[in-house]
Amino acid sequence: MWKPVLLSIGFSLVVPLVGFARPQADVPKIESLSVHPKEFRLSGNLDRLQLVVSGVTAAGERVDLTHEVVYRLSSSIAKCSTSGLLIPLANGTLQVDVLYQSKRATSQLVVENMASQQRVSFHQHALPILARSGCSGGSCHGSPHGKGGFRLSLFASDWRLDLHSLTKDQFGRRVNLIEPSKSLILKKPTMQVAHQGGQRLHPDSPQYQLLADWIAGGCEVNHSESECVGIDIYPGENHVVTFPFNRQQLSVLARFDDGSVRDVSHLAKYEAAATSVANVSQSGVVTGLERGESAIIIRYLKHVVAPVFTFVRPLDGFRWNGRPAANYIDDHVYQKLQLLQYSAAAVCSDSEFVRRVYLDVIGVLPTVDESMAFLESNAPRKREALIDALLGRPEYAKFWAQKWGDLLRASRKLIGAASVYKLNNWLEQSVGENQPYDEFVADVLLATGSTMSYPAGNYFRAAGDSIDATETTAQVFLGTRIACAKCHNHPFEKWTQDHYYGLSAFFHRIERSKTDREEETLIWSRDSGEVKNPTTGKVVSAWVPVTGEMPLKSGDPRAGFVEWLSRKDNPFLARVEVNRIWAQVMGWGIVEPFDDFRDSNPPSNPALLDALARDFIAGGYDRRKILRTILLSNVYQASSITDRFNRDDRRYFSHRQPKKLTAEQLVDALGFVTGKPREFHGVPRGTKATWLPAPDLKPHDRGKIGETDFLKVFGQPERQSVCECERGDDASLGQALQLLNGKFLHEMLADKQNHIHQGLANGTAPLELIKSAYQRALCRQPSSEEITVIQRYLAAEDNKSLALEDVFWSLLNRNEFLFQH
Amino acid sequence: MNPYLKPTFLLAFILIFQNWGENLLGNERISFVKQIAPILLTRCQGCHGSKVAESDYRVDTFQQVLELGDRTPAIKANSLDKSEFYLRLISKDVDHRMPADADPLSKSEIELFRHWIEQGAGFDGKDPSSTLVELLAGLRHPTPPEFYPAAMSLSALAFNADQTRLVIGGYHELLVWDFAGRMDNRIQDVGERIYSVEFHPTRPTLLVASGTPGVRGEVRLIESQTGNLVAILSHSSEVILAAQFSLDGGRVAVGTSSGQIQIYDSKTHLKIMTLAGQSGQITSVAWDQTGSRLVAACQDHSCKVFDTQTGKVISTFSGHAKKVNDALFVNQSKDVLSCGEDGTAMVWNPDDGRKTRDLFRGQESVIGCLAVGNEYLIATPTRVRRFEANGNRQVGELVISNVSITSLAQGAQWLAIGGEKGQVRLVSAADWKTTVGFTAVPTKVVEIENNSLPEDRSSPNPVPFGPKK
Repeated sequence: MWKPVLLSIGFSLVVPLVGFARPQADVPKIESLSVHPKEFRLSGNLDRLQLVVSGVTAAGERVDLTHEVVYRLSSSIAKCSTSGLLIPLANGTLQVDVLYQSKRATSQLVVENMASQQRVSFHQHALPILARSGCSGGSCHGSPHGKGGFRLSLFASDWRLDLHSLTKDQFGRRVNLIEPSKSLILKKPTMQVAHQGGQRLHPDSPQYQLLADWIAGGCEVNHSESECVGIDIYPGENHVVTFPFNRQQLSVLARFDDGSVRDVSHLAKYEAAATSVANVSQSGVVTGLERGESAIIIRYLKHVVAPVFTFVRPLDGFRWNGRPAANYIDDHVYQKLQLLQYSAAAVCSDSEFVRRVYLDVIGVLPTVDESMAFLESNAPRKREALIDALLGRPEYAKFWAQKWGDLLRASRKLIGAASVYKLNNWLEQSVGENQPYDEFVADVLLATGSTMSYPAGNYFRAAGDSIDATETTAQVFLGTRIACAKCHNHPFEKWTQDHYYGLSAFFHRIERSKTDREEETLIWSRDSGEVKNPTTGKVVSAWVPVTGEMPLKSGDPRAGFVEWLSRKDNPFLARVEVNRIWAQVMGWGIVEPFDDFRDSNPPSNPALLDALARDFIAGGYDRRKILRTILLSNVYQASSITDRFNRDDRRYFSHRQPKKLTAEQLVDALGFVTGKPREFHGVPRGTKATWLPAPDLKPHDRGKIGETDFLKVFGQPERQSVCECERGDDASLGQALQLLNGKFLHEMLADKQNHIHQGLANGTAPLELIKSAYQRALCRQPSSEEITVIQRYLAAEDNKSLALEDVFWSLLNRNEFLFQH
Repeated sequence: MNPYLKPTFLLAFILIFQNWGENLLGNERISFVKQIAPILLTRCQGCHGSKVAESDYRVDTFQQVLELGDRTPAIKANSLDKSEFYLRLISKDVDHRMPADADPLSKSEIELFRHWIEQGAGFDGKDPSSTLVELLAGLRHPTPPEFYPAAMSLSALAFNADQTRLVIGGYHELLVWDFAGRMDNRIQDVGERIYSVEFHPTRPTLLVASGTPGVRGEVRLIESQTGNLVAILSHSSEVILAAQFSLDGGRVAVGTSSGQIQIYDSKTHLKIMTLAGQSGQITSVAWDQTGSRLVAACQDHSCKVFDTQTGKVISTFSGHAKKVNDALFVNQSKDVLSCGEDGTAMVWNPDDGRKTRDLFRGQESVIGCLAVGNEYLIATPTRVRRFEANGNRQVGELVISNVSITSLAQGAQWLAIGGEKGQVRLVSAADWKTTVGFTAVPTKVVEIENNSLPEDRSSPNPVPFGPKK
């Protein structure tokens, strides 16, 4: 009987103490103090102002002090919370003194229009509150079918729908004009009524009060209000937050078309793009969780900005292991690594390098002679010489043409077998002759005439209508996934539905006429034709990002688009292509996924991306040259061995990330190591998997349904989508089974014509066969320990050829073989 | 007992505790029905109920509240530290504390639970296996304000037997108005919003479907003269939109939010049967002439016709592309007329669910339909259209300026139209001209408002309903 009493007493006594138990972080010593904004005009009782106070330490670091300073107000026409939030009380002028240590900063304020009560605005208050609270998010009521019968437009993009849902739908069940606080729209998010979406609002929050006041005012909508034209964030782009002072208060100021500026910090929606690096509270306080970078996505109405914040955590024992830079790539990467305190890995061994660079440049492993020659060479710049030699080889063109085949969707299913060969030949020629990239893009996007004579025109056959052509072009050449904006404004980006259809206007006039010749299509352009936004029914003007509207003239609008795309200052063409080349050889884009450029997915090293793009443009869009520059950098040649300071890095290229061989590389490598290359249907004998013009050249065999294709299992894309994600790079159980006991590998090992059986038949010693297999598979000789184990195994087995197959099998199942490192 | 604590300490604690408890709550016994159940319903049942049962724990009934499953008690009478329920309420670990992902219960709410458990966690209802909603259904509804600060959308109205009064759905009440725009009675103790009102064909009894959105719904029989409760027929955790007497008044059909049709005996108030077949809120139920069939309109886009003897589905009509708002038998019960949010009104065969014809197709949602004489009336927010019953010809329309139409009711001589801002318009069914108009909102300035609407009183003498030809 005593226990319950004790328990409840204990609880009640402890509770009040929790409030005092707040841990005190070290107090930063500062050299100077500033407050943002320095002057401001508050208009009406609903206006608020979030001040942001920053100090600069002796080391030059900026520290947020908004929640630590003392605010002293020169008059009582406003009140200020300890977190720097100002609430106006009466008309007049006011000076806010901000005091910290011995420093002082001031902000001059004017308060006006306090005579009458301001009405809560549906557009400027109610809708942003529903968006910031998550109500109109894509997984809640903002989904196309709503949730629980209640539907809102995604992030308040359609106010008519929202007004109907809130005030009229289901007999107006969601608002209660008689007793506003009993409105369902207030009871649900505060959990006064069971709510699947959990608690989204606090009854004592200003946001709750605004919503309640809007209902009490009769759910009015004022259409003559000024319109928001943009938002400004403080602190903005490239802000660095240094631990232990890992907090930063944000201020969001909205500009309106009547020239007024209002603080919407309490109305904006906040989100961190990298949630492991940072989080943002509803009151706009960013908290760093670990070192790294994150875009902070801030939305008010249709305006979205996403400044990138860098979080630096000084690490015990970290000393920058500075290495000399081989070129500007190293400079930029090392600078970033030093800032974030990641160490840079050493340069890899020759044996790692030769294997790596062969796979990256020509897709296959070096022969025994090739790798031995490189390893034994004492030439001073032998890596550079090897890079140049590989870039000059015909396999380079074949291998990289295949990557473009993926992007242009060269498949029998979409464009036909004959067209696949023609397109592939054209791509191979373009890469082989090192056609400047801008010319290559123009050839594709402006393709006109017979696809048999101009194979690049097959681009518009795979992309068979203006919608497909718009989305494909945006993804391949602008690195942007815009499909969301087809049906509604993009949920995370500033892409609107008008933008989507504006972009499609460039491809709307393309005609695709069949001829009598099989597969042949004539690509041509009508002289006129306009695009309507299906939601508004209005004709939209042609539109490109950044530049904006580009009125169409009569004739082929693609010319205008390509002209814009190949301008030297175009922010897409070069950046997207250099990032793609980078990702191909590094295994990870500077923007990743490398075809998903957006504000909320910023580059991990913007300076590096810009430098590569500048170099690319200056060099005349020379793809081979930019690839060569990357391959020559220490960053490319870095070892995959990590230390405790860079082990967890996945983004900043501190070390080599091992990457799995692609399906095609693996098939070629297995054939090469066993000596029994795979033959393919529809291509000349000796064609490698890494040269295949299409994944589906073999006609579909109804008798063999269920037979698994080794290439498909390992992620060869079917080329039905331009998304890089179509190439599966995940490990799967199917892959493990194929390698452990699949028919494909088994037949390669058992084939009487392979290196094992031929070698034994020729009287070659098993150990010699194993040594050359190691050299082929791993570009190195087996260690003495490996030799001991192998010899012990061979000695114990009666059937020597079978035992040797086993040794090969185990070699081919090693990660050292399956990965490029 | 903890051997490390000295008895004097314990004594001190007990004294503190006793003082504190008395200060907050006195010595009153805590009522499960009145004090505990409302908290369970609003703060717990969303995740621990019939739709979602997190951790297999449900608080649907008093019995279930006590058990965690596997015979482990959630609440152990007189024993707070063996009551996992209570420990979860007060936990300082946010991941452990209930309600999950939400503000904790207020101090006074936690105190209620503590006292209730310490008083033995008793039950003051009739049946411990009643659902919380059933327990709360017996409680009196809140009293409405004398004057309304704003107009309510009129979602239900009905004529009385001698056609002298209109009963109008108000806020937690029924408002009785005469045709001159005077309110002469208020019937209270009903749900927050009234969705359907109907007089019994012969007795002075009102059938009222009402509810508080998201919280509860119910159907009551009320004496129209005294306002006294006759019976609560049905109750649920969501509002009930549809209830109708059979033509002879012997039975009542109720359509619930979960798509059930319940049939009650209007004298004994006992449930005769439950019909199920639809998967959304029922928006309307209607009997045929003989009472052998029912048609139910549903938000799942379907209409179903049921045999009221066997309970079987006779036909399903799926011609509507969106929510169906209304459906009724017409043409001597040979046809059904239905209308919905897709902007259509259709006539179809109740035997096989096949469409006979499209009566109307427009942009606005069709909120209701009626058969009056030889005409079908189709109401959208902006107008009421009149169609020939045996053709597709529109013969007229009623446009009521500045009124967004929300409901319709048919009387012997009048058509009553309810509006979004509480407006009422009575239209003579003889010449289809507006004859009376007023705003059915209890306000201090009700007289002045009426005087400001002279155009609606253009014909002071109501024109009687003409003989049918």
